[in-house]
Amino acid sequence: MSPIRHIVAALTALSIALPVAPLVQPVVLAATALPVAVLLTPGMAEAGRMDRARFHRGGRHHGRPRHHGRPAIHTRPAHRPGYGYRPRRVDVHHHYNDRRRGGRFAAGVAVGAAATLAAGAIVSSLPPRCSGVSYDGVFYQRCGGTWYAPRYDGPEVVYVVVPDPR
Amino acid sequence: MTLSRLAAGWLLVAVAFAAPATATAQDEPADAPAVDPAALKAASAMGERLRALDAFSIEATLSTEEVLASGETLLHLERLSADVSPPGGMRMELRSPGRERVFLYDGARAVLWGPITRYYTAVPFSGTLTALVQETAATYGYDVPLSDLFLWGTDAGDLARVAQAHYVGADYLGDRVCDHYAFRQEGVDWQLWIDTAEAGLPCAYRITDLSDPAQPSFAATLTIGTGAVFDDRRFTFAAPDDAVAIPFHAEARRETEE
Repeated sequence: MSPIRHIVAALTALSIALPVAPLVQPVVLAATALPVAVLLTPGMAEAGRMDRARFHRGGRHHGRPRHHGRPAIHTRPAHRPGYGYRPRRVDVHHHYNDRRRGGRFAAGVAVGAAATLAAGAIVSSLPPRCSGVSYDGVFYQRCGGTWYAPRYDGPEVVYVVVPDPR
Repeated sequence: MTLSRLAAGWLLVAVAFAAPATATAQDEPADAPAVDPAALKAASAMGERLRALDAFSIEATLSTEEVLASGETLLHLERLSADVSPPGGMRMELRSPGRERVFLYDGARAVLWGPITRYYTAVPFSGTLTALVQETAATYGYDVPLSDLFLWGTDAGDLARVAQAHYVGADYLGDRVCDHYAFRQEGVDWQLWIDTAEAGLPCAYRITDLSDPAQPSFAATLTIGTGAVFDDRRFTFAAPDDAVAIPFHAEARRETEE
């Protein structure tokens, strides 16, 4: 299948699946090609657009609200109307607790997705029974056969699925 | 008799309602300026006063609305303690019982540290606090808490985009009397309360995102203490032995793409 057809198929699957079962989003994401997964993962693609918008505006934070026609997964607004700390819209609620490893929303997501997550997919919490490992100075969380690289997405810790670094 | 009295009564009522309406229409012609220059001046002057302080501390309560995909809106409450020493010192501690973040800037390096997660990220930077909050947002996707305070009245936070601005009245915030101003620009409403005391510092502010159907908002109530003296080490991060360095996602992604 060509990359474009792959993306179209993935988006079609998303449009069908998401309204029905929001908690299955990452599973659906996992089945999509890497660029699609990244594009539709909370916060990430938005952050990229935000960066560019700011640069184009000479570093100013003011910006016109933008809508990307993606009602199913609505993440933080891509624009920043001008002020620093903004209200937010997220897909699952679990960011606000460092201690909860997989809250009642996140656990099902992470566990369900773990077996099939493609490299580049991003989750906001880990499945149970992970261990921290460093390779070449980079820290990973290894959960079963899946490797995650923790990163700060703004103030939130997210985990990017990466290929086995060994 | 009764009927005619009733009719007269209704007539009076009708006049009573009509008269003020007419007066209002005359008092406020359609082309009246929506932006009260005094309100804009108050906001920018407050920003200038704040940035002119040598060193200050902030105790704040933050409330952040989070909109879930289902449309349900949650309100998160957090405490923020900040020590600020321009031009190159900032420490912000954001705490709730389950979540902690410390942001530090010592003039050479900006660090985001999670005391519970043990993850930190450090990026080199040198510049003013205004430049810092812009840089972390634009380059690393991280919004420094209360960064608005460092933008109001600067070129970066220019007020030229404000389409409506007016003075609302005075409110109590605790024992303080604070002047309440309201501003509207495309996609966002914001309100600002400025202390009527001589220092004229911000008491509170609230930002509402109009671009989202749920119109989530962020609010902060502030107590600002001036005249503080900080040890420089207050702003420098010394990584504990068990701290783990991770990148900002925005940065890591750029490196992957390059």
